[in-house]
Amino acid sequence: MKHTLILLTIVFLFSSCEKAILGPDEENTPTNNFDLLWKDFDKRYALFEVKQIDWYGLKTRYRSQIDNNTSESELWDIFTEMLEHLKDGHVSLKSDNDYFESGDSLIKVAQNEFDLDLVESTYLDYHTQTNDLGLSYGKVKDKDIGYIHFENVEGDNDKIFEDVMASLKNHAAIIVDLRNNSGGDDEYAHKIAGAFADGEHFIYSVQTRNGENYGDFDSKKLWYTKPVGNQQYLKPVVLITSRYTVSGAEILTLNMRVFGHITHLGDTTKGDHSDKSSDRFLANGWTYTYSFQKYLMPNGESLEGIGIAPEVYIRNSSADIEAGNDLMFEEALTYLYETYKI
Amino acid sequence: MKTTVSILFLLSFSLVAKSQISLQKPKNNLSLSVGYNVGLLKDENFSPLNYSENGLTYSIDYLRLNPEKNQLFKVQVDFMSNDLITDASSDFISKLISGNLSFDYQRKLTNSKENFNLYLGGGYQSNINYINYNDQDAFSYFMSHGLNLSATAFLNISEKSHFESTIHIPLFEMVVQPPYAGNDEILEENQEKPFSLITNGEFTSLNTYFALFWTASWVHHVSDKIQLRAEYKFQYQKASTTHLFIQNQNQLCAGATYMF
Repeated sequence: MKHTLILLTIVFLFSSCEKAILGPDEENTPTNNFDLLWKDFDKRYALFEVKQIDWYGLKTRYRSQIDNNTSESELWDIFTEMLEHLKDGHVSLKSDNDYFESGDSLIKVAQNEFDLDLVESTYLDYHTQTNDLGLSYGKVKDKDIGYIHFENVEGDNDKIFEDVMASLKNHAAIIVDLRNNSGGDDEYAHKIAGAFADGEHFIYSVQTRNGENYGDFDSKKLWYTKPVGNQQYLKPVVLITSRYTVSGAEILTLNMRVFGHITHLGDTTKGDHSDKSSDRFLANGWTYTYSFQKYLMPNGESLEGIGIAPEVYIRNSSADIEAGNDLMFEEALTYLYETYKI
Repeated sequence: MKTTVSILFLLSFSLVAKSQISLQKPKNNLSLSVGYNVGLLKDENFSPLNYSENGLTYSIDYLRLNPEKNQLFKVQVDFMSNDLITDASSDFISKLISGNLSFDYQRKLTNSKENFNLYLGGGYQSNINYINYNDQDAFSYFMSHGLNLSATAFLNISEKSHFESTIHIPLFEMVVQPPYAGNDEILEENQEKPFSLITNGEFTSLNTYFALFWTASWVHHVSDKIQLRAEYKFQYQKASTTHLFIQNQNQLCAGATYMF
């Protein structure tokens, strides 16, 4: 029994020793944090080839700027400068005090080229905010046209959107506005589009990175539109997008624009299609994310960093908005009148 | 340190006690216990950092001994919801939810009905760990399902108490971990189909998955129907399949057994 006791004591001492069991923890030094970040992107980021990024070249350029005397703020600047080369809205970095999103300069411009309050006050009879914070709807003044604005694509309750569609289904047309939309859940995007679906269309394929080489991806998962619910809205629809139509909102755009009764109008979308990774952790307490998938259009082309171009191009300037004019909205009304006399 | 002192205290009983009785038990034993887990975890899918585990653990088990046929059958269910803590940042505290289900069938190797009885056999075990950071801003999971070799020893240490020890060594296992990128279309599509997810794994050998589950219990006989238990559980798992996963748990538990 004495031997058992000794053995158990050894087991306990062993089990209390973190290094012996898990190996040494990651050091919180600027160089090690850089290496952790760079290597994780190297192993898992999906869009090096699509975006033609020389990731090793960036390492050479930025790793040499870091030593263990580099301050936190200097490290932040170096990380964000390196990640900005990816121009990918799903690449982010977060510290206690700061947040960075790669390639968000287009969004910063586009967000001033739309004002929902202006749409409400100038063009709508009424405008109702639903319990899904990102979803509101209304009716265009003096027109038989419904209006839906999605601020994001993150509905928790399908019934809310179904109720919106029930309220608007008798209108002769609907404007679906995806401007200033930060994205969200692809599954919800498919459900929304299903309310407008005129059938099954192949819209894109998705592949997830599954190996250490930049070209390692799993097999293509093909995505098709499909009707959702008992009744679809098949009357004319104008879909408005801008550069601030991002991610899940772009998936919604890809779904909607293939339907014959829907016209895509506005500005090109942001071009961030892949799903965003889980938060990744660094030893200095920062977190980051990245894209881990590749979305390809039916013609094999990737629109990452390019965006989805509209059929009818029009864009507001911030001066237009300040002057009280939403030219994109007005163009949608003009299009519906000239094409359908609505 | 607390756990070490406590288990040494328990073991000291087994060292000094003299057994007087044979192990003639009622056939069915239903036990409930609550304990505290102190552990270590590294899951490279989740994070490159080392984490410590702390929190309560709950266990229920049913043991059926058949002295005539020299058989033992045991079903055990464990559950815990623990905090995962890393030195890097207090903001990185995450939740670990673990569950364990095992079925064992063993036969007695020793002939004596006296102080010491040893059972050897095998069983099935499913072990599930789910890690969640900040409402799924990051998540990971590790599951193992398979057949294991198991043994149980009973040692009478006095008229009123005995010592039990059980060991499980998984042999043929299916290990389930997130895909290479941590997520993929299959995972997203099956989020609401847990059975599909928990069985979407790969079979491993001892080279890629090793685990050891060991329990030592000191049992005090309060009456013919009731026993009180103090237990130490040691669990160790290491997998180097899709992602490196290492977990070590030390649990100190107290509970009661109803015999019928």
